[in-house]
Amino acid sequence: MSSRVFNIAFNTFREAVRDRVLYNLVAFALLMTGAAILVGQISIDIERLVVVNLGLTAVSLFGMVIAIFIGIGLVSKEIEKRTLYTVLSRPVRRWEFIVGKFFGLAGTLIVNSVCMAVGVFAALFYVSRHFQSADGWVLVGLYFIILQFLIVTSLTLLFSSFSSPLLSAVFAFSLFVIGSFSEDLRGFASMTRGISKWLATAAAYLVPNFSALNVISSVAHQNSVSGQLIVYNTAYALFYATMALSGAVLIFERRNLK
Amino acid sequence: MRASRLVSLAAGALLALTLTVSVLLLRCIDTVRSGAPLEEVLYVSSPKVLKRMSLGYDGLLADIYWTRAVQYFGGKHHSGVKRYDLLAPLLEITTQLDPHLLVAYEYGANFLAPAPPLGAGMPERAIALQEFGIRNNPDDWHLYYNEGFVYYTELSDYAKAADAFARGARRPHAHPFLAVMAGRMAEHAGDLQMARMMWSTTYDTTRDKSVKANAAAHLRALQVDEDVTVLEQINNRYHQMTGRFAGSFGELASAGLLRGTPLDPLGHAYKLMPDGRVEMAKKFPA
Amino acid sequence: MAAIEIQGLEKTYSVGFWRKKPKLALRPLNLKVEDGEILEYYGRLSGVDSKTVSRKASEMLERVGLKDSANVQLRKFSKGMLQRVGIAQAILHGPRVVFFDEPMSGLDPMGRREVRDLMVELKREGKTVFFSTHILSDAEALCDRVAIVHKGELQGVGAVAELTSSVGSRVELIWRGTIVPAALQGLGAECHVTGDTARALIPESSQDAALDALRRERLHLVSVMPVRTSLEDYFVQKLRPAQTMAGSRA
Repeated sequence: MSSRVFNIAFNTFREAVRDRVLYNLVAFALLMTGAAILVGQISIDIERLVVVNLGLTAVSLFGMVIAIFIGIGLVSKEIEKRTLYTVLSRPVRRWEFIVGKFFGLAGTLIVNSVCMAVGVFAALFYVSRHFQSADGWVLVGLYFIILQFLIVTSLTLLFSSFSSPLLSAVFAFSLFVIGSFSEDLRGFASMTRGISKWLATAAAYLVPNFSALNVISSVAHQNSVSGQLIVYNTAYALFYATMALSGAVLIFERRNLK
Repeated sequence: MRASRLVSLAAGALLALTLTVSVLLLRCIDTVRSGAPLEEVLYVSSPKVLKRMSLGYDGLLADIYWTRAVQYFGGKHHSGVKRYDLLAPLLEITTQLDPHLLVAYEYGANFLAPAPPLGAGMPERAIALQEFGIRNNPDDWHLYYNEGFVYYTELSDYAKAADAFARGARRPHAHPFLAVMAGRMAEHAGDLQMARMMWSTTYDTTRDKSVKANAAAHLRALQVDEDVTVLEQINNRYHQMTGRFAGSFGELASAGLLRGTPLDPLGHAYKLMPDGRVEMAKKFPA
Repeated sequence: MAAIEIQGLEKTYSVGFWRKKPKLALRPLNLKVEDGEILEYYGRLSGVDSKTVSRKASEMLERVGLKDSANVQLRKFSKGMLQRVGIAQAILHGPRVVFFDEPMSGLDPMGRREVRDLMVELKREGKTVFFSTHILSDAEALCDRVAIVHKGELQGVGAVAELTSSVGSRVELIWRGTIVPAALQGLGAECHVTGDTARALIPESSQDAALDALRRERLHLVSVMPVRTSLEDYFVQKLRPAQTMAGSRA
């Protein structure tokens, strides 16, 4: 089983690379270089702040776009082009296909983010000429962004297992936006009353909690991130991604693929 | 059992399990990060930057900040914390994002100006907030009223309060009390009548629940103030007549000074203290 | 896709499978054929272990005649080449049963010949090859057993000879002259006159009566020939008015 999942994952990664997905790194490199040079010239105190803010935001947004636009095609494209039938006529279970696709895309995003992280640190070094201990929190920020990618990837897979690519993109993107305000949503739910309180609370707990995973401005201000939060966030992202993936498997397993 | 059925069952069970665990984890995260969304306020150097960053969706962002402001104040108030440092920036960001969100100005006048524990104790920033509101909504009388209200209740600057009320009274559809308040500000500055009129105007015109509740509480407090003053005067007269303070309202009634037992706004009888003071039987709930 | 259960085959990996519309099935995969990547991918998914998979992949490329097409991208492949890649991936892992869905459609005569040879070869290796086709001559030439499916329903199944013998065989009579005896029409003959010869197709059972009729008219008989019944005749007889499709088994 694991070798088949690995094969599908590896093939997904290889296809993404051949689709020139990693070219976004060029755009990212240009952005970081430009920012580092410009910021280095115009301001004295906030270079570090701007580089971290801009860098991590770009890592997050580039990754989100990749996750959504590759993710929505992972299943539907294979159905449309009929390659899925060739794969499923092998002794490959449907769930192995879904799980393999997930790991393939997640792997692509992790490789992509690691390359970008190198870029962020290079720019950071360029503007401040040395590293400091607070830069370690930038790594935590990057780690949280990767956790976000795991959640978004599993969600796009979930949506693409039952709806059209365009709708899946819309769903995934709106959940990303809503999830970024999920803490406000839960606050809002606690202010309502009666049956709408139940509904709002349920919805608020169901949407992915991206706000706790976004510590960009905090680490840009050299604030630390509590170890407790790192542990909780890791567990949360893994459980949430597993949940969405189980949903995707559940739907895909029962889907009529004629 | 068919293998695919088995997979479905396993996936369903996993779904339920992971859903439960992730909700529980979310609760843990929320306790670790209580108040975290507000941290942003500390990082955003100016509301103008925020407005630009919101890419034109500033109305929605204003609503989010408004919710955060209410939650921040409500949550802190509830837990008995006496400092509300972020209330002013939250309200300022809210109104800069959406200058027409009138309820935010009213909230500022009622909860930003008063001294702790009732408010953040920042009357100047409350006034500045109203000024900003007036620049953006010159025809809305509520903002002038709010401004006069802060000048009157917190700063005791009756001339400025009168000026604000007078300007407000000239706006279309202004509440008739504004003109009255402007006229009487100078002569009756600081008396109970004036305060009562002010709070009942707030009570009648607001649509915000917490502002309304706050006004009602003030009105009750004013009622108690008035009752206590009158009852203590009566008790003093009884002291002059008999050489001692009354032990019960029955004694005052039989002396012909009072009819019946006076009740406070919550419906409880007042208490007569041995030293002649009058107190409420129960404190108002906070 | 319906689950297929085959008696005596518990393990699905001994089944090879290939659907038509090969362009659609292979183009989006950004895999290169020249170094056997795509074959290795499917081979691994079928449980071929990673040590032998690349050797097997290049063997397969050789076998389907794609060895010389190195350095050509998959998206530039012709339909026939894709068809061959499809067949290669279906048989790479050495299945005992292979399913082909219209393996010869869209191929030029040379391509058809190669696919036919390949199927015969597989048959000789002792493999069971299922394939669907609507070209009945292919089925007749290749198959041990055929099944006729019409509108989703099985109309008949068996060896080719069995099926054709169930339809009565016919005889062709040719004689000189343009006269067609009236007695022949009565026997249910199809008669045609071309130039100075006439021709009639009659059921084998009425052969004697027909010859008698010709003799009575003193017509000069040129030939009497039994007509071999083809699968096509069987097919046409069985489902005369309808549009047809056949599933066959080699």
